[in-house]
Amino acid sequence: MKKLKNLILLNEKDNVAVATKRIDQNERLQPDLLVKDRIKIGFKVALNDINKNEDVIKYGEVIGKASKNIVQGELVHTHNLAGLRGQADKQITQK
Amino acid sequence: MKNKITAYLRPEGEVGIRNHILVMASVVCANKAVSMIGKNENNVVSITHPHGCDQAGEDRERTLRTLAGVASNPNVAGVIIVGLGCETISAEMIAEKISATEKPVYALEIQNNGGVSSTVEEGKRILKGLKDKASKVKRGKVGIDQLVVGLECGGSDAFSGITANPAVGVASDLIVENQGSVILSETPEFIGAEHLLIERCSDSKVKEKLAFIVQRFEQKAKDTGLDIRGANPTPGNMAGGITTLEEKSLGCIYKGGTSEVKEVIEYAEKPNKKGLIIMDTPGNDVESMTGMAAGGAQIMIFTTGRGTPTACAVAPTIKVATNSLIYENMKESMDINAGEIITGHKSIAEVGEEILALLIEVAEGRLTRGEILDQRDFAINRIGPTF
Repeated sequence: MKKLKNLILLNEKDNVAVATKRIDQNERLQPDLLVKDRIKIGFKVALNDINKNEDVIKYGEVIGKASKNIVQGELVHTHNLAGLRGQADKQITQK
Repeated sequence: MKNKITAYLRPEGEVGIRNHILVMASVVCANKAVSMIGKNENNVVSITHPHGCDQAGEDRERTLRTLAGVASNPNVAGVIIVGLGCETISAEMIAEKISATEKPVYALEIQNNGGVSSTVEEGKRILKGLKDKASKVKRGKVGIDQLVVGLECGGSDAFSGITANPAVGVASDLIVENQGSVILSETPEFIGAEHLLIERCSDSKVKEKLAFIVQRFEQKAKDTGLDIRGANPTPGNMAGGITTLEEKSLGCIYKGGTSEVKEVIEYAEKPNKKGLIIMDTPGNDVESMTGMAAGGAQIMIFTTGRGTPTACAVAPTIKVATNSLIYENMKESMDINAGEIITGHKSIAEVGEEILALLIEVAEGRLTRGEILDQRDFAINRIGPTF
């Protein structure tokens, strides 16, 4: 677990980080990270661009796929991230 | 670290941390009588529920096992089961199963006792004797290896998997290191994280069983044609920052710590092994805790991010808030604040040790917030229709 300014990075492999405070739109948290949306506490921010259908990684594990192209600094939530498990229309994938 | 507790020594060798007298309905029709027997009585826990009749097969067996299991819980000193007389799950059937514990158990039937009022009168008379017997149960020093701790999370938020659950994981590892047991529950919340648990199973049989219960659960959802994402993650989970079921699961399994998974058991079954146990329970907190209490858990550790007051009917439930906001907002129901991990005031390990220290105090009689509020929830997980 790595603490960044107003964010927690849970695993080095992650492409999202979790807000530990409310972050304002267009707030620059690091020289290379401009947050594009207003992020509520506990919500996820994309640390780099994530293309549609690419894995979203948190805790070092896959939490779903991007349902549209996500740019760095964007909020990652139900509007652009979809889980792959527990759906009636999808096959169970045994890892 | 303190690893001895003073607790109630039950006749068959188990150890209780509370000394409840239980009045339990075998069937929905006995609820009124049960509530009246338990009314204005100290140290009596009344258990009512909407089941017990017109149930068949596996579903009936599971309800019976749950009722008998909760009454057999080591925290219970004596039991009165009240039935109607014509139901599927009779008071006698439950009493028969409890008798293995050698604790005093009585079965009453409303139809054979001249109705509700005289059954209540008889129940109140029996209670006097049970209270006398319960007060004479000897207490002794035992190790925390005698504890079976149920792990639960409810009303999760994005911080559940960052603060409270990892801290509970630290406590779980310490309990297992001391030869105690912890039960990790809630099968839907293994979905997407099961590969991490499967890697940690003690042998191939345990691995297969774990893969099986997860697949069975997911298949059940598929068979209904429903997308369980509508129910899990819940709207509250999503409002708390959790987006997907996988994400919720990955945060959820931290509660089990890092030790080997020794056994995977069905809902309301008793573990045969010690250490980290997995029980197949649903995501519904009260049904899940009831299943673990039926399996013999004497105490629960329960993390919450959205805030829930729920607590198990027979097992003291330690509530761990995942963030300071909910801790302050629902202080009357919260025992520990793991939110200080976010602010950096405490480490995960420190909160884990705090949880274990409180667990030991609660095992010796300190009341949880849930007990102070007399929050005693009970619900059985059904797997079949009522006919």
